[in-house]
Amino acid sequence: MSTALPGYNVGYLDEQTKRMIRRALLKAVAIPGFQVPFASREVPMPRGWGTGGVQVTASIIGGDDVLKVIDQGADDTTNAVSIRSFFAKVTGASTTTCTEDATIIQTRHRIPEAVLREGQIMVYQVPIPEPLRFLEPREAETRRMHALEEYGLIYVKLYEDIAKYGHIATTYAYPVMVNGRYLMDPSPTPSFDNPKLHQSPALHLYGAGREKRIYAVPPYTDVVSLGFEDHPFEPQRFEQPCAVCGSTGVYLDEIITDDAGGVMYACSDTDHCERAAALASAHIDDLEEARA
Amino acid sequence: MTSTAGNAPAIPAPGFSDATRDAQRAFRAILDALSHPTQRYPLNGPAHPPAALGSGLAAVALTVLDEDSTVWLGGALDDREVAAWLDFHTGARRVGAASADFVFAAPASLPALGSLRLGTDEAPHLSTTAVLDVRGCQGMGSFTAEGPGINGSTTFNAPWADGRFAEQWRANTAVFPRGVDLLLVDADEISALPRTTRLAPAPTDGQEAEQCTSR
Repeated sequence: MSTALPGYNVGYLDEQTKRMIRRALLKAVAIPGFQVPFASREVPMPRGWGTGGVQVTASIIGGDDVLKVIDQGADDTTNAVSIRSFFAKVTGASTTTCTEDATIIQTRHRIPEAVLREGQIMVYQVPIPEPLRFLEPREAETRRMHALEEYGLIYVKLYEDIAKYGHIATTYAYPVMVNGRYLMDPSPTPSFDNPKLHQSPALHLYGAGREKRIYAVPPYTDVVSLGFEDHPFEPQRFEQPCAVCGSTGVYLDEIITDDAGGVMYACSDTDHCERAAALASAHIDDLEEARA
Repeated sequence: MTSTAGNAPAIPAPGFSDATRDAQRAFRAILDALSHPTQRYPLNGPAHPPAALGSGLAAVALTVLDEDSTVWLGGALDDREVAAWLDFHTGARRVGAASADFVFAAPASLPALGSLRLGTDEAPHLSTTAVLDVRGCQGMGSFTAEGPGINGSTTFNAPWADGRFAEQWRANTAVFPRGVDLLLVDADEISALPRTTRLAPAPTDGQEAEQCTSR
């Protein structure tokens, strides 16, 4: 039996708040990509630091869950470490950095490199849930645009990218169409991660605390990144392998190494990088042993 | 001690033995069921629920209902013991079926899906969740199901589905994003049909779907 912090309800939020968020989550799953309003509560961190994700996690997590929290791809940054220890304290759930071991993964905003499996839940901390917000500031109007499936404006935005830069220059928060109906902002994940959402076996829950919206992508759901016939969606690519573990085909962070323009590129997903590096060095040890 | 509630006991039976953890587990079963339509998930309810409600429906009621939600009880569920128990534990207001957030009913007492609240195009989330009591149903209903949450397509046995269900459900999916979501609750199991799940009669024995005769 897990023990939680005395003086707080298990999961920090009071039961009625959890029920309200849970009802919103159920409708969000039933209407993939639609933003369900909810009464966002205060949690012990400022708005903009992942309060939406924290409220979603608090409403779903139980004592037998294993929680992983990543900030970009990293398990060891301040935000990730404090959210992880917050939930360890208030729920008694165990925590991990290993993607495969986790049942709930709270993130801003990467999707881990390891392939997700059925039964895992991704929880995203979303700053701006409305993909049309910077094109149409009025909430009443964007709601109507979603109702009418009036998404011409977003294509104009992508077209203007092409006209200006010769290619679609959006590299994060790249708009997607969910289940062929709702335009959705996949939170500011790099567009590199967009293809992982399509027909993903995991459940993806999005919580925007400041903007008071919850939305979801159920497992095995079509998630198509927008594009044109002659300018289809192209996720980011990286030419070089990770400087630490040698992985290719992963999302890399640029790390400035000196003041003379020197840079190195290393995995953004620290869990993937650590294990790939350990595997590589074990392989080298094996080779040396065989040689000796 | 006097009771004006007829057969309802003066003190309602207890709810979850651990209100926080049991509700969390029940919610995850509901969430799993809606995320993986047609799949069945174990559902543990309170030990001594009102007889008409049973453990499974009681677990769903305790998990989703409170003072901020409205509920309609259909058929055999609309009895004094259930009403008193729900009043005490949830405080959910009872309203007519056409305006309720949650409709609890057996297949025979479930109003036509199209008569329930479907939400609007701008607010499709303001639609009814129908919680169907499928205990003891013996019908032959079988469908091929596909849609979000289902990997490809799957066969779905629906012993509770009566002859009018297939057409009602087709109409329900046709008005997407509006529509009713269905939770199918057995004594200790739950499965679900969100409005996105498309059903086609399974090409099996060619049997007509039989009405559920349990109540």
